[in-house]
Amino acid sequence: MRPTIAVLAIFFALLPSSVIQAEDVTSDELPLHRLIDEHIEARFPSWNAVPASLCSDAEFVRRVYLDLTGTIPSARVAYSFIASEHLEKRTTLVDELQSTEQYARRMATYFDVALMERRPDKYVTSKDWRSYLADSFMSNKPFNQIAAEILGADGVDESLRPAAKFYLDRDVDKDTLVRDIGRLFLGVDLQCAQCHDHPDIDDYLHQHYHGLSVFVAGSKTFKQPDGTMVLQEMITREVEFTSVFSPDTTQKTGPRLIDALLEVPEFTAGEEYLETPSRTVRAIPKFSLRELLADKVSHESPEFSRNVVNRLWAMMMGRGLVHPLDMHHSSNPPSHPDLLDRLSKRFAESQFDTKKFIRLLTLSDAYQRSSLIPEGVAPANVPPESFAVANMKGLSPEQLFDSLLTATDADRILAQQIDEALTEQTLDAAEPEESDKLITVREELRAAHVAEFVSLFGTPPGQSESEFSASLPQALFFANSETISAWLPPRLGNLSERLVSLVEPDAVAHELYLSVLSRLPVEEELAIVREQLQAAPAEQRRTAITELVWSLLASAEFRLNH
Amino acid sequence: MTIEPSCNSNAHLVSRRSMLGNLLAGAAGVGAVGQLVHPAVARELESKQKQVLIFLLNGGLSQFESFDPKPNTDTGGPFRAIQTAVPGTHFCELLPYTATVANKLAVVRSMFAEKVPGSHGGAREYVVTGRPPQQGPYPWMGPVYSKLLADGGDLPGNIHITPSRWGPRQDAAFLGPRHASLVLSGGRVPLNVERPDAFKESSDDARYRLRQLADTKFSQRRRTAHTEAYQSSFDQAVKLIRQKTLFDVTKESVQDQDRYGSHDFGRHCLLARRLLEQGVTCVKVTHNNYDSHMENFNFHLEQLGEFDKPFATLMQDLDDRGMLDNTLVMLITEFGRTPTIQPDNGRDHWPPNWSVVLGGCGIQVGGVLGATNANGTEIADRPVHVGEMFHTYIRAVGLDPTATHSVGGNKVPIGAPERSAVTELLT
Repeated sequence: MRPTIAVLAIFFALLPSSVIQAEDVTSDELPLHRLIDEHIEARFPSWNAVPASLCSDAEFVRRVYLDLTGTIPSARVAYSFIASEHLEKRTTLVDELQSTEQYARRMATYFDVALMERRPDKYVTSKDWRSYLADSFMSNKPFNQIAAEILGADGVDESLRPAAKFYLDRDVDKDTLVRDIGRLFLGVDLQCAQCHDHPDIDDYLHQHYHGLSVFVAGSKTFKQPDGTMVLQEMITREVEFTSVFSPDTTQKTGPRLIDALLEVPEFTAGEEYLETPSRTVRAIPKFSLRELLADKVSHESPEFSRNVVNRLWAMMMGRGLVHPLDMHHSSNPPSHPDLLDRLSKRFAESQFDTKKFIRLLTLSDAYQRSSLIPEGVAPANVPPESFAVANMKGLSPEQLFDSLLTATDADRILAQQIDEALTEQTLDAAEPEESDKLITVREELRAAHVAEFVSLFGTPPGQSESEFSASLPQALFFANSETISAWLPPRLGNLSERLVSLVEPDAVAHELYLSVLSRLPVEEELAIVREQLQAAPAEQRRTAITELVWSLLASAEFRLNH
Repeated sequence: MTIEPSCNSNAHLVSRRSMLGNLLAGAAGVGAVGQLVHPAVARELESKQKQVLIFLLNGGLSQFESFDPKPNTDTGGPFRAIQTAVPGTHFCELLPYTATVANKLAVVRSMFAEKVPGSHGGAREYVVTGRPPQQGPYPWMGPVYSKLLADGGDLPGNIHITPSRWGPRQDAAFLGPRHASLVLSGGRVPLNVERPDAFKESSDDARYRLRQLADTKFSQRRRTAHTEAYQSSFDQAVKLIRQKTLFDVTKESVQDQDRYGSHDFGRHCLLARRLLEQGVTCVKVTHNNYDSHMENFNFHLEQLGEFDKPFATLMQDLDDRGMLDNTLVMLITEFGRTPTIQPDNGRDHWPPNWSVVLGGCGIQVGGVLGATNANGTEIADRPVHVGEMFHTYIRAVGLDPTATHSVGGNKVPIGAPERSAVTELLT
């Protein structure tokens, strides 16, 4: 598996040099990525910001692979991208990546974590839910349709059952749902407005919380005869609430999307349901508030579009225009208010086309800036909200797992680890007719490896993804874990074995840096590699190479998407 | 629909007189000592790093069989009450050693929480965060102390010594993984401290140096928030890998190992002492398992038989070393157990009233706060909500629980804003 320049160069030579349509031009409007840059650059003077130059091809290929496919590129892909002289190669790469299954999988993982926040599975498996999301992103389903399917779900219809995970795996608990619908779909965290108007945020009122709660107050779980858990909905028209500060005054509200109070048709008593509900008959109202919620949020709510735009922006840019993500309110204005307005409007006009939106983000200078602060510029002049310098993002647990696997080229070792675990389980599933079962078990064993990363590098269940942080157990994991000791030392054609077969220290250095950091080494790094290899006696060469690989995998440069 | 006004605590309305009465002896003692300490020494003590030792009696300790005995009543069970070092205060006879250090403790017999989740996990979370878990997740006490008392230190700020097969919990919530408990499962060294075969001890220096070189280069001209956090996690890890003896109780004297006992909990208490002595900010020791739905009395006989002596020994040792002045000690459990004794001699979960014990730094010791009625079925005096206790735990080490954590631009109150500390318990 010794790559040569000749082999490496072919990849990009084969790419189509298609005509690039880098814009969503509608008459006289600016293409979206130019609109972004105009607004971002217009604010630089307010910080005296000096923007970073555009990132190198090496930074770009790593960044865009991580953002769009969830893993770093292989050495071969990184090298051919860097070496390519194709003029539009960045745009071409984005288009290429967005058409892959890995893109759909990455988006599915991202939105699984964003919407379920790593809750343990309850009634809908993560597997079904993620494939629902992946299918949706693969076909580029409008995002408001995804939202409508999730918020309107009852879990009965087989094809849309996974969408009911949002409700079902929260046990259809009203307060949890109000909080999470507010945060995740509307960008407002109303939790502190549950017992009174929000103590610190003037915009968040007690009635907003309870108005939103009306939509889900009547929804409950219902166990079907076959044991499947689905949703039912009791008639609810309004809720009463009392502030703890004025316990004698009871207020009422009907369904309310923040300030918009909605009408609910009235039915004669006894005729509200399709069929009279009982212990065995699921309650299905003639007018469903959950469907009303799904419809209004996905079609008429300006908050929804702003929230999605802000979350997609944060996913790509490392920070929302509104920060934190679920704190849209007047005393926490966006860093670039007009830009958020324009983007939200354009996004809605584009039928909530996430693929196009993300594509245009990647074409902006704002996305393509280096994370290196320009020489002589004080960090205070390029704060994160200026987007004058690229904001670094910590790799998610899934990105870290896939990137470690890519970097060390340890697929065969992982397969062997899974085989060993299979043998330990002494499965009869090895029978040919049971091969489906075997595939499933293999997937589960692989998922268990990923789960170890999630428990160590992920946020706790029910918690939104937090800013990058590093812990002692994480560092110990890098230093000494089973995974590190299995994937790093030379064997089964992995990276270290490939490096051992290279004679020249500089060739080792090139392959090493391309594999782990997706870039070529600079002179001082070549010197380090030469020194390390020359100091090692022949019988220690394997160890010396393993140490070199380790030192880069355990570096901040690998741990971050920069 | 109406909501339970959970912000409206009746605790504010209750008289504080009973506590003052109970604490009279203790308070006088503290005053006398206070006058003997030279002001300069007192200042030094004041500025010394505060530490915290938490005992979690997991599963729900019975208040009847421990700190709130009700002998000779319909609910009291078979055990007697015994005298303690504090005249007039009685413990259950299952705690003879703890009774001898009662003068170093403050007992709260009127703990309660409302709408406590039925699950142990949920109730435990309520107790260690001071907030209903439905509102969470909020950081547990250990991470909070790690954040507020130990941020940036060389040693892990928060170590949890657990029974075997107890994995790490993500208990730091929004404070981030840096402050999550470092778990010593079964009192053993943390995961991944041992070097794998792929590397040799002799080459550790080389690989750490190479890694450091890579970081140094990358960090130039990059925002430090990310790179510094990353670098410091490795600094901590390298120190720990080189100081595995930090966790090795066999380095303690044979005599001490005998005094604490050879069973797990004894070893864990000695390990806790060792960690505190070496400067770890917060040490939590979990003792399993008090969930006695059947055979409550045999259960407690056995569990407290293990707990009692090492706990009392540790209290005594900390006192002898002068460490109690700067170390807050707390003995907590997720809820009490039912006054009613089930046919199979079990007691079930009971959140309406239970007991909590405090000692050390900042605590008015030698007394009892609150009381239950004659057969322990309800609180008779000074109800203390778990949220108030959380404020108290924070205040005891000189911190302000009404201040806020700063979380990525948000301000989150440290203690539940509708609660406040139990001042009767504080010096």
